[in-house]
Amino acid sequence: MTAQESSPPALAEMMLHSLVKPSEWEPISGDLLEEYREVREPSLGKRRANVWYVGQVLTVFARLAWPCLLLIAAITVLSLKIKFFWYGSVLPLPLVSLADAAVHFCSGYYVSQRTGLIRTGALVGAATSVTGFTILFSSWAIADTSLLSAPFAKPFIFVIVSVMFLAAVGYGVLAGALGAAVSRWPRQSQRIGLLAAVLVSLAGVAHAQTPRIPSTTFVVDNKIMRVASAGLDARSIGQPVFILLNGAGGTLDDWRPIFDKLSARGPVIAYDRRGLGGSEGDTVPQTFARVNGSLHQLLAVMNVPPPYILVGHSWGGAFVRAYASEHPSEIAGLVFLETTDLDVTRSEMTRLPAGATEAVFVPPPIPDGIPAGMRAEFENIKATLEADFSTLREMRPPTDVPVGVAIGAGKGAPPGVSATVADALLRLQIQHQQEWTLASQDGMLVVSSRARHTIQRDDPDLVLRLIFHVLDHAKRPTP
Amino acid sequence: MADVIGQFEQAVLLTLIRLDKEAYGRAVLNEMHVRLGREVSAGAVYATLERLEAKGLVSSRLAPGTAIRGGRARRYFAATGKGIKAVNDARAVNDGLWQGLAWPLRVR
Repeated sequence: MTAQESSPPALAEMMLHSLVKPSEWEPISGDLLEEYREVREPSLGKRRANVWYVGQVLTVFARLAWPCLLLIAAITVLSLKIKFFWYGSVLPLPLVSLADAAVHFCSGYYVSQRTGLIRTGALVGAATSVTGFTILFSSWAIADTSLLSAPFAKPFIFVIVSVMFLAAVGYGVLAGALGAAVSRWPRQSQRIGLLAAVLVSLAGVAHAQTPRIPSTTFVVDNKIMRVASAGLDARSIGQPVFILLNGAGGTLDDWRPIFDKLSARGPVIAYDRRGLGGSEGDTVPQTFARVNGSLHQLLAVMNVPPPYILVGHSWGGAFVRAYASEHPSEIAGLVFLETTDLDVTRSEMTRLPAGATEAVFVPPPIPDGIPAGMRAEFENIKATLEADFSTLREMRPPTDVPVGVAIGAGKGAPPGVSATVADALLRLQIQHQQEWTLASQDGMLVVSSRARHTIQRDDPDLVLRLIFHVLDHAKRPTP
Repeated sequence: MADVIGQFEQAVLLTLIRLDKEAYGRAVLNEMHVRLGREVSAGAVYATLERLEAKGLVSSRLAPGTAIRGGRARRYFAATGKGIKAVNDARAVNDGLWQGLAWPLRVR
């Protein structure tokens, strides 16, 4: 092969092709090719000439992209230093923050303006993404050098890191290309696009700001479950653990108002039911047995043996009742917060103002296109209502444990229900649920006229006092 | 207002003037390498040429490529009148600063 025919690495040429204006591609790549064939390759040999060529392309790249790389480095270092700087990006992806996404986007916009090419934006977006990812990982590796050897011991870590890396690069390419595309719009459209981007970002920040409890994940039955826990390490033998069960469609973050104060008095676990929040969906109908079976498995995986104090909010109280009936020996206490009236009967409705039957026994419509996990939850509610709560009524939770009930009387009428019906149903709920406390050895019923349905948020101190009452009278484990 | 140019821009412009009709990208890079006595980065030279052209200090034209460069066109650069004035001004400023001082300066 003669020097005339030898060519530099195709990938480097392709990269150069994405870094210069179309009008400059021939002159610049031609210059480099000429030098490569006439001087570098004959004097340095193929391998070192290739290194030289790649180096030249990198100088062109650096000239173009250095502000972008500097910016992403600064942002990443800042996000490591300042905890509250991290907001999830608009497209949720682990390790990509909103600020990262904005840098990829702006980088794409900036460099594409220089070359007029969308692929420049994609390339530099990928580069900023790789830079941010590398800094993040390096900082972790410096903090804990065992991380470096971990992939060799457990190859799947390598796979996970690679997937996250590729996802981040893909994100960078996408955001960079988007920025590049925007830079080619007419001025007026650019302004509108910019405004839209700012609004979407602000919505993302607002979303990220809704309080979340620091959580972790466990793999239960091959599927991920999101869990928040506190104080488990300091648990003494036989000490009850608070298990918090969310209302219908809710997530563990609903417990934010009382989670920390609760953990000051004992170990706490809150979790997202399968298909909700950060927990993967299930493949079979979410019956009480199935849902509580998953919880039982989760507690086994977490190695948290009984006793438990179950705390259920709203529809979560139905799961509490079902769990306590199935595993009475595991229970040290029960707390029902604004739990659905599980004891209503159709015959009672006839004595109530018109509209009561519809208000209670007509299941809420399940909209098309709601997430599968949410749908599974609503299917269970529907089935329960269609059976007139008989499934739950037949359950017998233990009576030798303290039971606390809190009712928010300030909740008012739900949409489509008249105030008189709502008031009558509230009185019926109080009447039914006081029986739960009367059946127990240490029952306590609190009715707050101010608190609404989310009583742990409206009156956290009252709820805490109720839960601590149950804790103070918790059933001692039998030796 | 006269164009104020930086050290590297001045080096590029003087190289164009020195190379005259032969000033295409690769020749500029190699000549600067010789004159400055160090490798100059391709990225820096092309970016500077682009900037100088945008300021109107440099003009360029395309010419057919040779076989060794895969037939890719060459871009030849030349300093414009404005470019030559800018280099002259830069020299005048420098001379003004040096006026009355003996070169090389003695280290006390």
